[in-house]
Amino acid sequence: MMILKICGGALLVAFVTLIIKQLKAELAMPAALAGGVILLLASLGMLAPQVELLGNLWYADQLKGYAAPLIKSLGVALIAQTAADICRDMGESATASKVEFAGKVEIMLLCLPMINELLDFARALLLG
Amino acid sequence: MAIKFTVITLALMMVMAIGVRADGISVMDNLEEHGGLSLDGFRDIIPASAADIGNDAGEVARDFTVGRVVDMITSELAELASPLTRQLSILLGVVIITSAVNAAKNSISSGSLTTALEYLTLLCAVLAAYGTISGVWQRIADTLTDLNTFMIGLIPMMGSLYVAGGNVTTAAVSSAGLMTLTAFCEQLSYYVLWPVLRVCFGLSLITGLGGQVSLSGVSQTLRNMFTTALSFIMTVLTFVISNQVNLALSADNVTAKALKFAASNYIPVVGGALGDAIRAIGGSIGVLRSTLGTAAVAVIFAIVLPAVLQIYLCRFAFSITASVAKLAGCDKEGSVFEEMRGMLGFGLAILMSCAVMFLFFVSSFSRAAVGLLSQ
Repeated sequence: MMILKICGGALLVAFVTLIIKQLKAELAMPAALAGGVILLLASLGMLAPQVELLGNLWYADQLKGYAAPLIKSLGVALIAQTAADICRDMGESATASKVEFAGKVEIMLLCLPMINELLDFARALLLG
Repeated sequence: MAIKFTVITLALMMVMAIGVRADGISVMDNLEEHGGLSLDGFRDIIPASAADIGNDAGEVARDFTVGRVVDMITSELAELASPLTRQLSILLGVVIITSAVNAAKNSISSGSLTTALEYLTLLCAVLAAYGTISGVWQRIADTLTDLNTFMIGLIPMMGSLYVAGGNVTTAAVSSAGLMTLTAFCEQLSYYVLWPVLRVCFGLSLITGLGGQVSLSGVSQTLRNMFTTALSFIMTVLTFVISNQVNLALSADNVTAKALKFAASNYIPVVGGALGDAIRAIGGSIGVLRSTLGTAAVAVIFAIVLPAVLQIYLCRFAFSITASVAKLAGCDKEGSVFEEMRGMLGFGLAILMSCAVMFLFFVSSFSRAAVGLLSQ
């Protein structure tokens, strides 16, 4: 099961980071960052079969307009959250806030086509 | 003097030898010569599921059986099943993906990122719901227009048959009443249906995307208010017009009785035969009225059926989606779908009110006593 591998990997990263911190403190953060990125990519890789299943559904073409922005936004949020957490671990909370803000802006950009569609619908309804 | 008396007697006997009878009078034959009760003018507004409904009112009335009604319903359901199943699948798909995103969102500690994700999931639900409802609303408006067109075309036919049956005053009163009703139903689409949809649309947007603000109660109150006002106005119109028609029928019956008495008693020789001829005509007019009335009921049913079935199926789809959304923890999305369901209910109320009113008047027409047959 993949979850056992990921949990084992996380424990290994934590242990290695602890040891490196004792030996060379300045290398601990990059080691934690690398381990975190690998774990995140492994977790996202677990979603691949589900995404393929969604794509094979008979109504997937119609659903794509809604599913794609949702899944992309979730990915953006997870990546922004991970980066912000790493910045906070390094003591850079201001940078972390900027990363979160950038993530929010990216999500709003992904919403833009849907907002346009809603405005078109409202315009058609109000103007007859 | 005797010769004069003999000549007059012989002349009277020659006159009495001439046979007089009401022979070969058939209103149906006469009507057939002039195109009959043809439905050719209404072909464009009769939906495809009832396209083989018949060429004239006689055929339509004969074919309008329970089996035929069931056939129309099943064929319409078969036509609606595929697109509505697709819409339902899309709605459920959006709900399932939204619930998955909401579950994953819990692992994100940043408040601003979770708020942005919440906004996006609600936007998806709102768009999916509006994509379903917009087509239905246009269909309701088009069905109301077709219904009015048919009734406006039917009014002169009903008036002619009233007059032919000796109900002259009833023809005038009934035509005026039905014109009032069709004008009222025509204005419903422009002054009630679309404005309420626009207001409810705005309120549902605020409820869905406006954070903590929930205006679904205001929307519900607005729809209830309009439905109550509509019911009151329809009841008053039905009461007034039906009473006017009943009074006119009574007046026409009295007039017809007096005319028949005068014809039978004061017209020599042929007065009795004339009374029989009038009764024969009256019977034919009665058959024509029943035929046209039944045919009109069938056509109204055929016009209204597709829209009503579509509304019911969409409401069912939104009910299922709202229940699934609430089970999956997507309460706000569930509220949006409940709101859509309510808006469809309002559209159904308007459509059914107009259809039932017209059916009532058409049924009254077919059951109205023929003045020429009054005893």
